[in-house]
Amino acid sequence: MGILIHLTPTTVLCLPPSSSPSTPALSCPQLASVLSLSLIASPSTSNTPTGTWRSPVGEVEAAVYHAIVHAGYRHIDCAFAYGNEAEVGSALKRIFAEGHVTRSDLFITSKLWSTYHTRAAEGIQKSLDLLGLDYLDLYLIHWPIPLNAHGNSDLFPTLPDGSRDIDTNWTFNQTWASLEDLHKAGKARAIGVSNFSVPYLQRLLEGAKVVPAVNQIENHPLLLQTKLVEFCQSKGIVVTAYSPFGSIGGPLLANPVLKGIAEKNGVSVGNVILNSLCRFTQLSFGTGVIANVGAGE
Amino acid sequence: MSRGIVVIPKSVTPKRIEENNKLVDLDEKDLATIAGLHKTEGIVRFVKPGWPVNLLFDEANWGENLRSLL
Repeated sequence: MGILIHLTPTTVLCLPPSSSPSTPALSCPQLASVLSLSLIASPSTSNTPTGTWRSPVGEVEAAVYHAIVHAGYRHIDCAFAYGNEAEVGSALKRIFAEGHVTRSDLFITSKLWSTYHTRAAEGIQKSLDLLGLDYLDLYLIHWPIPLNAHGNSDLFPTLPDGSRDIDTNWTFNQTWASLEDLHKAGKARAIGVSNFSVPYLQRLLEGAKVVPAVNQIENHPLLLQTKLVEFCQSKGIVVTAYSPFGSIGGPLLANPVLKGIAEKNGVSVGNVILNSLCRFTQLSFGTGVIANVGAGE
Repeated sequence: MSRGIVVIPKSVTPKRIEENNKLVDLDEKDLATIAGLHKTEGIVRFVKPGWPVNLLFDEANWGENLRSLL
């Protein structure tokens, strides 16, 4: 049975029975409140025009400032591909300057984008520079798919036929070895993956010196992925759930069955989902739940 | 949104933060209902970027006709 840690203000986190040697940072008791700054690529769009989009200037910065200073958040889930790490960095700079918290109070995650698989040291340094930090608490491989580092786009390079320009000469095992080096060098206190299935994880583990601390995956009542979660638990990998309300617009918040349960208990549908995910995980495995506090608004 | 990218944290509302924080004592019947929801409503994966590869997920897979990277 996992240990259920409940912390203010946002969510709950279940850790595996014992932390694996590679996950000391994850025992940080302030991990549970997660501010996620994700952008989500539309499933139907093969040609994502990332780089054309930016949130209105200052919006992300204000959100980060508010979350940490006023709402008690201590864990920020970032990624290079979200395109807003500079704004997160601006907020952190101000927060540190004003003395609200220190770096060691925070748990900051970022993710290596696919076009940087062949140059992970460059990838993490870009994120560190944007965030204004000298280390990350957790660095993840965002997707197990290496994309051409020298293609027609920095984020989503495509081939002439419009399909994504995958680097078939590189494996994610090589990427993982690079992350192990970054971990060893102290750039990332813990390293992990995101969007890895069981077969992909098995392949990763074949050559791994460090077991991934985390696998961040989509997880909610309509996508429990029980086998994957149990596999991760068996390897000591903490599962972090993204899109617990069903991603864009939070469609699960409107689910009639979940609404009925929420009304019966006198709580919100979000409460029901987050609590049920943690109850499921508590029974059999360790899971962190990332709730986008602004989702659906 | 039609351009394929959406930002999530448009705002950080204190109300929602407090809401999410609440520990709810769901009974076994409620939990069983939630755990079985996918049986009646189907397994749904919401985040499906158009990768031209099969990522070999068990449930709600996408890209079944594509090759994997393994």
